Amino acid sequence: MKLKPVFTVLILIGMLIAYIGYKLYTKPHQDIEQLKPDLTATADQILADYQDEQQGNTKYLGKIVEVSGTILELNTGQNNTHQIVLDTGDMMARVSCELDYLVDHPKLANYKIGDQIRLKGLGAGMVMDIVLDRCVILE
Amino acid sequence: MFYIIVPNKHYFMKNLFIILFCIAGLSTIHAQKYFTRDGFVHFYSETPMETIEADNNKLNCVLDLATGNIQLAALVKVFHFDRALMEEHFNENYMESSKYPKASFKGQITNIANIDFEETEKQPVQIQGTLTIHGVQNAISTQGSLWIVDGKIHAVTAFDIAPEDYGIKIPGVVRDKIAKNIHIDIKLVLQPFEK
Repeated sequence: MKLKPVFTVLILIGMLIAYIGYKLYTKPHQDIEQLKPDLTATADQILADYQDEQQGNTKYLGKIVEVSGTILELNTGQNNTHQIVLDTGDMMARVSCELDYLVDHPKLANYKIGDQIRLKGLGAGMVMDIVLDRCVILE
Repeated sequence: MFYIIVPNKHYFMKNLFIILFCIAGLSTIHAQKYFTRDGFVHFYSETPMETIEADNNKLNCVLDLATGNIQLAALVKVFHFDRALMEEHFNENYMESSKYPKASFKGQITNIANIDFEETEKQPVQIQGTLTIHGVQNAISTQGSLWIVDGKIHAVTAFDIAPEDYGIKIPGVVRDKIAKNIHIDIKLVLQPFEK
């Protein structure tokens, strides 16, 4: 009978651990909309920084980047994914902004090729293009 | 009217055919390289404990038809998971994407000479080369298929890799949740590369 309070405490701790574990396991993806940009740049400037890929990655990789530029392409991919490609003057190395697949982008309808746009997204690195992932349109 | 400016209708038509023929010829002969920036790569790990999968729609590929040389590159941070925690562990603990942002393949389609680039039916391809993941290189060889749709090259391949071969350490407590061999699927639609 003396052990009873100990068991109760252990069960409570066990439940708490299970709860924290469950919360972590099911935690939502980062809400890019709510995150403050780590840095702001134009598409041209991003390409200039990526002339040395390592240096570009040091500056942009994993960072929340606010980018501005001229729309070169507006693409819709599989599963209703959208992409806004910004002109850098180099057709082989553009800044490709992948719109966040987790949210809707009602502002997208207001834009056409040649327009100026500002977006915020996560620096993912450079393949041919420099890629910003999970972008949201600012204006 | 058009005919008034052109003195001889037949002469005009003959030239038109020659011009069209040349344009058609150029488009097949000159497109020696094909590429995409929007290829699809998906990986899949299944154990009785847990299924883990993620996909990436930004796979880059360049294929040279003359030599069969093929290069692929994918950004690790663009792999999307349903669960945020898995994505975080994948990037931070396993792939170390801040240190190794790219996974790549460089190799060759070894039977390129036998491939008909007009054929709309699937043709088998043999691929050999070096796969680089997590900064570690390994030789791999696999099979795939390739076919043509509207002047674009469609290609698919699939293969398995073991995380341990790429210096990816998986802690004992989660070892049962991650398959020994991770299955990878690739789908590509390559378009002619024009300078």
